[in-house]
Parts: sequence; structure tokens; C-alpha cells
Amino acid sequence: MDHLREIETDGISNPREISRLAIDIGGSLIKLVYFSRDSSDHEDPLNDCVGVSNGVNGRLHFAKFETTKINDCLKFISANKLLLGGLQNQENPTSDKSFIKATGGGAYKFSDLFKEKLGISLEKEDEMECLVTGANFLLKAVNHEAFTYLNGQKEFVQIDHNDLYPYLLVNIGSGVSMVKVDGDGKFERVSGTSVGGGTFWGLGKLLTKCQSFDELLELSHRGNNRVVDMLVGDISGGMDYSKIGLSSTAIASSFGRAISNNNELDDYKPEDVSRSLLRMISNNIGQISYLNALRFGLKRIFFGGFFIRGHSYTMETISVAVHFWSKGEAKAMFLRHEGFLGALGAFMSYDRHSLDDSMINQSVQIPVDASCGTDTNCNPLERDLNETESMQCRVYQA
Amino acid sequence: MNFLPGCSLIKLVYFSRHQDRLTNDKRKKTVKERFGISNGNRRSYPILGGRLHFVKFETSKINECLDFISSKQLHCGGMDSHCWHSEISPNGNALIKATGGGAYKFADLFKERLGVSLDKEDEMDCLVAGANFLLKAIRHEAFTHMEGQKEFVQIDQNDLFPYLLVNIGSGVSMIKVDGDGKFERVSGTNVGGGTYWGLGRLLTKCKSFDELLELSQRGDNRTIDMLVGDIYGATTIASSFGKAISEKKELADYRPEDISLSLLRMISYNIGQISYLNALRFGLKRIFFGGFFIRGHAYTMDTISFAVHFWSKGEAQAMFLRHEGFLGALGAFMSYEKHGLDDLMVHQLVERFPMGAPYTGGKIHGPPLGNLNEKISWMEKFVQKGTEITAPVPMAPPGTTGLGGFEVPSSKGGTLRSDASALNVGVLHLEPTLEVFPLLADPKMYEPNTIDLSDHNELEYWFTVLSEHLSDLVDKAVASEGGTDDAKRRGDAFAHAFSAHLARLMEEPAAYGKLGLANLLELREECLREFQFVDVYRSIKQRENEASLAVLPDLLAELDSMTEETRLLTLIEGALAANIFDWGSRACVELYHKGTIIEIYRMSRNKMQRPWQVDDFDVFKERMLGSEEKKPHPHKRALLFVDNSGADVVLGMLPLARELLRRGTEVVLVANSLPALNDVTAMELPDIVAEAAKHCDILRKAAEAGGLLVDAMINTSDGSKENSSSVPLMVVENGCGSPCIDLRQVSSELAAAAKDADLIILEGMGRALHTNFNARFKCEALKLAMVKNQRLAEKLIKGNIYDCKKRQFPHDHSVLI
Repeated sequence: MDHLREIETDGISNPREISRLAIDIGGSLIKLVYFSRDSSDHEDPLNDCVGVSNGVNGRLHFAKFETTKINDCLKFISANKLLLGGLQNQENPTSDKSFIKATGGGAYKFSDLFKEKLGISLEKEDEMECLVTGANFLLKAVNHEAFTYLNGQKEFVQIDHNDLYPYLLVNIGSGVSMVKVDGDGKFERVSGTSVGGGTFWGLGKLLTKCQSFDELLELSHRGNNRVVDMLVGDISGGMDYSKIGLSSTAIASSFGRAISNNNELDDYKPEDVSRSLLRMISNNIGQISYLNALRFGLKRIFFGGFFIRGHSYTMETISVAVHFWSKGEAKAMFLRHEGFLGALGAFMSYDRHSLDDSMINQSVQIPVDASCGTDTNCNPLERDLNETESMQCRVYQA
Repeated sequence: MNFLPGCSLIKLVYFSRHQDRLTNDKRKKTVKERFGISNGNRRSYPILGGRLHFVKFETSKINECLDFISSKQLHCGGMDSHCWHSEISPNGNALIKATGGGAYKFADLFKERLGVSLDKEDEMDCLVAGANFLLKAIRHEAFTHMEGQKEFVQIDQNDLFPYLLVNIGSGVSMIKVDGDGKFERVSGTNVGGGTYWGLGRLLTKCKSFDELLELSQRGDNRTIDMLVGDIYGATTIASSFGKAISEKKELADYRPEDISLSLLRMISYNIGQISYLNALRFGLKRIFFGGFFIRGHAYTMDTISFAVHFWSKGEAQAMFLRHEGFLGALGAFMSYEKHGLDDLMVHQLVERFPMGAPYTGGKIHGPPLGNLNEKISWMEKFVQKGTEITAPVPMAPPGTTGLGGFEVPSSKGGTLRSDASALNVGVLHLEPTLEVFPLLADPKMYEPNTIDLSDHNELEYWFTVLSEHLSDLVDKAVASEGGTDDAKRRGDAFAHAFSAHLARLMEEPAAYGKLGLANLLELREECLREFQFVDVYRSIKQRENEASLAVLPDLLAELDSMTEETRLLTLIEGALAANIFDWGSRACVELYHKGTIIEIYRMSRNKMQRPWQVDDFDVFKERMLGSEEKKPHPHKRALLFVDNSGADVVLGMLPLARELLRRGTEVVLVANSLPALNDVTAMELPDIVAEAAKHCDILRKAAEAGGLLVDAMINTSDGSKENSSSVPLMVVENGCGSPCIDLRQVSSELAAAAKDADLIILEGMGRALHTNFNARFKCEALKLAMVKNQRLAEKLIKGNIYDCKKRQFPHDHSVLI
């Protein structure tokens, strides 16, 4: 991953002091969030933050790896000395036992590996709780975090902090979780589906021989789903489907056309297959999400998770599905840092736990004026929002 | 027609009219006059009753379908024997109602080959009309399917709407149905049967939908789905196909079986979930799933049910329809203005499972076998091939020849049916004359069967009983047809067909819908009739009637010499004793060979020591004879449901009838319309009564008054006018041909006769024990039966075999021995 290397060098070349790492190990991707203190900032270091009132300036970094390439991730962590920023120094300096906050299903699976390779324990945080904490943080602390995407147009939505709740958070990882969020720490998993990112990638891999999720996604850009999908117009045979609210170009049956001719898999372009798959899954998630939002009377649906990856067509399809089924009444919204909700939540949990343990009450906040301060000063709207990045922030002690 | 290549089927629904039965026999005429049943009196039926057939063809074999239609002349409406759902349009062209995408595609073909136009009906209209019809008109049409268990659901017609109809074709439509013709498509999904088949085809190279579905049966989705267990240690699926991402395997490295199962699960589950969310949204408590995707496939139904159950936390239920594949075709059929089925009632439809049923299951098959010879040879080929017809039943849907024949399941004889739980769809017999017995206290709660065969132990027991009795029955059947070679062939074929039915039921008790003992016994009779064994016990019945009639005068004289009180007891004892003579009960066969009929009768009667197992005789006696201070008024009319021929009816029921007549009560003997075992039929009774009347004035006058002796007494009719002021003795048919009786479906003449009746006497095991033991009536009822079956005795009354029984509700006397 090119971007990671970039950051890697960046991280090393800059005399930043890195502290705190949280990790989200999902079924297909590993996400890292870590904090680095600005070297120019001479206020009290984070390590020693008790009693400091003005907080610490620094950067939150976001990085990701494919889960299958976990070794790269381990190397990255150890090369960047990210561990040094873990809690060991501040909480229990004498102990050689260190740990990092982790969430995601893989936190269990890879626990031993981290112990063995890096000598650290993973302290598991509840996945859902992390997601919600991460989302709440982003929605409240970062300007222009949420946006809608319709007809190719991205539009940022300013959300009133006082009118944020309740909302539906749809996290699309390998599977899909739908969480009704009523406030900080107040949430309930109300639904979900097993047809998610893992399905797209898994089925896509079998169908197209793509080697990576990104490659598959890239392919779908160039595809035409009409080749594979059966459209309403294909079967209506003159019947008026408009009276039941379907246009003739709506998909009647995903992959339905694959049954009606003698083509084999090799006869289809992988681009078309990929696109059809993407539409099927996005549309399905959009529909189930809307039905659940409707059920609980939620007007906002935020979609997050790594399936989306800022991929415009995915967002478009989900948005269209929500728009269609809600007859325009509900809107799908997306988060710029969607892939990092869990990791961010885990990162935030250091504070929650230290609160319990040592009464250190500190919080991470990003000054409003510093929001979106990415490494480069380019317009956030034009930037690929999902690549590895960092944001400037300041850590305060409350 | 529902069009989807490779997985789609052409479904035909057509109606064939019953051949007119002998409607002119004199007894019926008399009955009609007496009870005021005239054709003008009742609503005139556009059709006189007939059969609704359900036939499927694979779309790829459309030519067979065309041949079939052509051979049956189905496209020429107004044929004598067949009334296809077609009509002649003003320009003289024949017209067939059609629906489904293929109706457009094949319109030209139909025009060219058959010269008929396809009149396209809106698909959604048809689906809803079809579903409404099935749910209202057919008992046990809907069922739930959880963890492999089917449970039939009886839906109150008045509480049917609103419901959600989910039709899973290539895509999925979700329709909220509020009433007949009142519906709205509220949702749907593009992930449906087409997705399963399309993706499945690309991933597995299967050649047909059924092949793909069959593959799934041997699959294990754990190799490809990412389970929650892969992450947390449980087994819920976290991500469908999610495992495929983390392994370095290619498509070829996965078993097609696993892929098919994973795909099937993903799609079924997804449909279940979206359906539930929509039902919830509109507050619908019932969700019916139909469409070609399901095809009675157990795993699909289980998955959908599980999803609905899981997401609704058990509050919503997924239901399926036995005729699910025919919703559209049935709806198109209903769109004929004059189909006459609009106001059809549940009680007018009888579903029968023809002989091919156990072999073909719910599978696609061609036309039902037409003539007897085809049936026999089909059966013989099965046997020759050495095909195992005990469970599990061979699969391989017989190919269709298009001309009304099945091909033998060919070389695939050894393969198992792909899905053992596929349900059979029978032929719906429409009997417009059937009615609900008007004296049932609560027709809605009425359940005829005392024994529910969904209890596997019960089923096994009766399976054994019927199997053991089978060879004896075949011998008798063959003998009844003169023991010819032809009869032997038919006998063999019958034996195989019936064994197959039994095997099928053992394998899948719900194969034919909800099954009670009465249905099973009737199935046997139907099966005999199918191989044209009209009346297996004909000669035996005759012989026994003669033997019994010969001793009747002595018995009547004996009775007349008794006091009123003794006589009443003796009559009841006698009726119970005579009920021993029952060929349906194996124990009695031996008994019969040991002595003459009257000796056994007397011997048995003397053994009838009270108290009986259920004994309400005293109550009955008081009602009949009154107490010292109060003389009772006689009953106005008694309905006597008779059982067996011979001693049972002649020495048991006739004397009882005579006693009632003597007390001024009109008596209606209710007997079977068609033969079943040695049960006396309504056709036979007038002759028996006429013979008995020769020696008894009471019977003679009553029979005359009842019009039973029109022929015999024609000469004396003038002179005896004053004397014939007697109350009448009449005979009506009950509308069925089974040893049991389902009082929800009785003949219109019985229903008419019941109007003035204030006493019902049900006699015999079949009608008083196996069925109706728990039935409650609006008037007084007496149940008389000998418990000739140890198991039943234990089950019902914890007594020994040959114990008497009699019991009483406020209105209900029962004497059961």
C-alpha cells in the first residue's frame, strides 16, 4: 500500500513522538489509529499530562492493512515504535507487560500473534461500543465529517450537535451491523445482514480472480451491470411496471440474466460481474437499512465501514436504494473516516478505562478550527477521503 | 405460465367435469322430492362438479405442453368432458387465460400450433387471486416449516386479511393483500431466485435450477461463509462468502455443493429478513411465501422461517402454501368470468392423490395418467425396474411424453428424490353438492379425526395394520372381479400403488397435507377405485345380507315378546353385538368362520354385560321410556348412520330403526355413497329394507311411506293408503366413500334430511370412534360402537378389546363397547 509507505517514512522522518495506538482487526482489513505529538509543541507531553490544562497538540493518524497481510501490519507497528506510545509508560512504567486497545473480531484471533511477535497483549474492546464511540466522536468533533452522495454530487452536511440523536449507524464490514444510537454509550444493535463487504469480496474473488478488494472495486467502475442483471424491462413484456413504482431499468433480478443464455463465467467481463455484485449488495444494504430506520423512526442513516471506501458508485447505489424505498424521505449519509470508526472508538477507550483505573480524566478533542487539517492543505472535498491520513488535534485534560 | 428459462415451469390449471353419475335412480328422486331438494331450489351451478388439475411442464419442453393441451382438447372450451379455462371470443377464436412473462413470449407459438390466443392477465392480480382462493378454499393449504417440521395451519376465512404475500420468482415481490382484488405491491428485492440460479450457474456450472438445488443438499456452507464462530466461536454467519476472501483458494478449489448451499442460505435468509421488516411495517402478522424458488425445498423454507422467526423474536410466522407453484395459473383460471368457483366453499372441495403421487412427489411432472392401462403399465415398469418403492421413494421426475403418460424414471431408478419433504399436490375434486352437516354444534372447531397421524407412533401402527391387511384385501379385490388375469394385474398394481402411498407417508407424514386416520382409510378406498375395483366386498356383503335377513324374522319375534325396557336394552346390546361382524377388523374375520350368524349374534349379545366402558344407557333409556311420572314425547326424526352390511345393519340397526318407527319417530338411514370395505351403501339399502319388510308390517308401512318400496308395492299401493299413515323410513347417501365420515363434507340430501332431525345415532368404529368420537351436535346424539381394536381401546377409554362404550353429554348419548 503506497500510502502507508508514505506515512511510514513521514512518521519516521519527523521527530514526532508517537503515543497511543489502537487497532481494529476486521475480517478483511486491519485499521490503526495512533496519536503523535507535535514535536514543535512544547507543552507538557502526553505521558505526563496529569494536571495539565491546555492539552497537547498532535496528530491522529489513520492506517489500514489487509487482514491477510497481518505481518505487514506487525512490521509497521514495530518499525514505527508505535508500541512505545502505549499505556505502559504512563500507567505502569515498571511493568514490562504492555498492551494496546483492540477491537474487531480479529482481536481475538490474532491475540497470540501479537503476543508472540511484538510481546504485547491486545486488550479487547467491544466492537459495537467502539463503532458508536468513534462515530459519535467524528460527528460531533469534526466539521464536514458527514456527507450525502446523490447523482455524483457529494454534499457535506452540517449536523447540529444537539440534534444528532437518535440515528442509525450502519457499519459495513465483512458483515453488516445496524446500530441504533441514542447518545454517548447509548446504543442497541437492532439488525444486520450477512451480505456485506465480505460477500462482495468473497464472491467477487471467486467470480473474477481479482487479487484484491481494491482491484475488484476498481473493476466495477468500468462495468455494465445490464449484461448480467435482469432488468424490469427484460421481463415485463409490455406489462406496466411503472404502476408498481418500478422503472424499466430497475433491476428485477440480480444476476438474473446469467440464467437465460448459455454463457459461462469466462464469457462475462469481470468488470460487469463486479459491477452487478456491487449493485446487488449496496442496494440490499440500503434497503434493509432504510426498513430498520423506518421501524424506529430514525431520520438519519450513517453508513460506515470499509466496504464503502469512499467508492462513489457504492455510495450512489446505497443512496439510491434509500431514496427509492423511502420515496425520498430518508437520506443516506456517509462519513469521511468511515473505515476507522472501530479503531477510533478503541482509541478513545484508553481514556474511558484510565478514568476507571486512575481517575485520569482526559479527553481528546479536535478544535473546530483545526478540523480536517490533513497533512496537505488541499481542499478536503477533492481529496480521496479514505486514504491514510492524519488530522491535527489537541488532547486536553478535562 | 411463468417464464424463466432453465428453472421455470409452465403451470397449467384446468378443470374437467365429472361424468354424470346415475342421477336418475328412483331413491334419489324420492329423496329429492321429500326433502324439497330441486334443482331450481338450489343455486344452479355453472358446472356440475369436477376436478381441478394442476400440471407442470418445464418451459424448455413447451412442445410437450402444447401436445398435452391439444390431446386433451383443453383449448376447445365447451367440450363435453373437459372444461378448460377458456372461452370462445366473439370472433370465434379460442382463448386461454395466461399470465407470467412467458405469456408474451409464447403467444405466437400458441396461435400457430393450437390456434388459440393467449389472453394475458396481470401477473400480480393472478397471484393474489390464486393465493386468496387457495387460502380460503383448501383446508390445510398453509403450513409452517421450522427445523424440518411441517405444521399445517388452519386459517379462519374471516381472519385471513391482511397478509403479506411474498412471491419469489426471478426477483421478489412483496404484496400486501387486504382482500379479494385489494392489494398493493409494497416492496420487493432484486435478490431472488434468478440471483440464486444466475450466480449459481456461473459458480458451479450446473445445467439446471433443480440440479443446483439438489447440490445444495450435500453442501456445507461453513467452508465458504465466514461464521461468527470464525471470529467469536459461535456459528452464526457473519458474512456470506466471507471466507472466500481470506483463503488462497480459487473457484475450482471449492465444492459446488458448498457454494450452492451458501448461496441458497444467503438469498433465503435475506428474503426472510426483508419480508419480515415489511410485514412489521404494515402490522401484518402472517407472511406467505410462494413462487418457483421455494419448490417445497426444506432447506429454503427452514432458512426463510428461521430469518422471520429470528428477526421477529418469534412473533411473526413464515408460512408456505402447498400449491405455491400454481398461484399465478390458478389466478388466471379464476379470471374467467364463468369459472363458477367464486363462491366456492371449502366443504365442496375434496383433494385426492392419484396413484402417481407418491412417485412424483411435488416434482415437476406431466399430465396425470389417463386410462387404467397406462396406470397399470407405469406401475409394472416400476416394479420390473426393481425400483425400491418403500421409502425413500425414487426421484427423477418422470419425463413427460406429452400424450398423457409418464416415462419410467429411467436409469436413475436408484437415485433418491432430491427432496424428501416435497409436498404432493393432489387433484381437487369439486363436489358442489357437498355441504357442512347442519347439526354440528361448532363447525369451526370440528375435527373429524380422533387419531392424528402426525404422531409417528400412530402412523407406524396403522402403517403396519394396513400393510398386513393388504394381501388379504388384494385377494378379495381380485376375486370380486372374477379372478381374471386382468384383475390380477390390477390387483398387483393396486398393491404397489398403495404400498407406495404408505411408504411415502412414513417418510414424510405431511406429504399430502394434514393426515388423519380417516384420510388414510379413504386413500385406500380411492386407490382401489383408481384401479377399478368397484366393490371389493360385493359378494361377501350379499352373502351376509342374505344370511342375516333369513334370521331376522326370528329375531323380531323374540324382541316383540319382551317388555319395553328389556327390549330397549336388548336392542342396544344387539346393535353392539352385530357390530362385531366387521370385515374391516381382522379379529372378526376369524370369528365369523366359527359359527352361523345368529348364533354368534346371540352369543355376543349375551356377553354384553353392563356397565360398558362408556355407558350412558340409563340416560338414553330415560329419554326413550320416560320416568314413572312423565311420558316422554317421541323424537321427530332420527338419523341412523349405519356401518357394515350383513348382521350389523340387518340384525342391529334395522330392529333399532323399527323400534323408533314404532314410537312415531321418522327414521332416515344414512349410508355411504360409494362402497368402502363391507360398509352398506345407500344404493344397497332399499333392497335390504324391502326384503326385511316382507316379514314386518312396521317396516313395510314405514318403507312405503318413505318411498322405498315404490316398485315392490306398486300393486298394493291403492289398498294400503289408510294404513300407510305410518311415519316414514328413508335412506339417504352421506356423500362419501370411506369407512369414516367427515361431517364437514356431506351430501346435500343428508344435509336436507338433517333439518328436522332431533336424534343422531352414529354406529360403528369408523364413524363413532375413529372419527366423530369428540364431535358435538346441536341435537341428541347416540354413539354406538364396539371397540374392536386393542390399541384404540387403550388410547380412548383404557379398556379391553370388546368392551362396550356408551357416554353422554347433555345432548349426547354414547354407547361404545
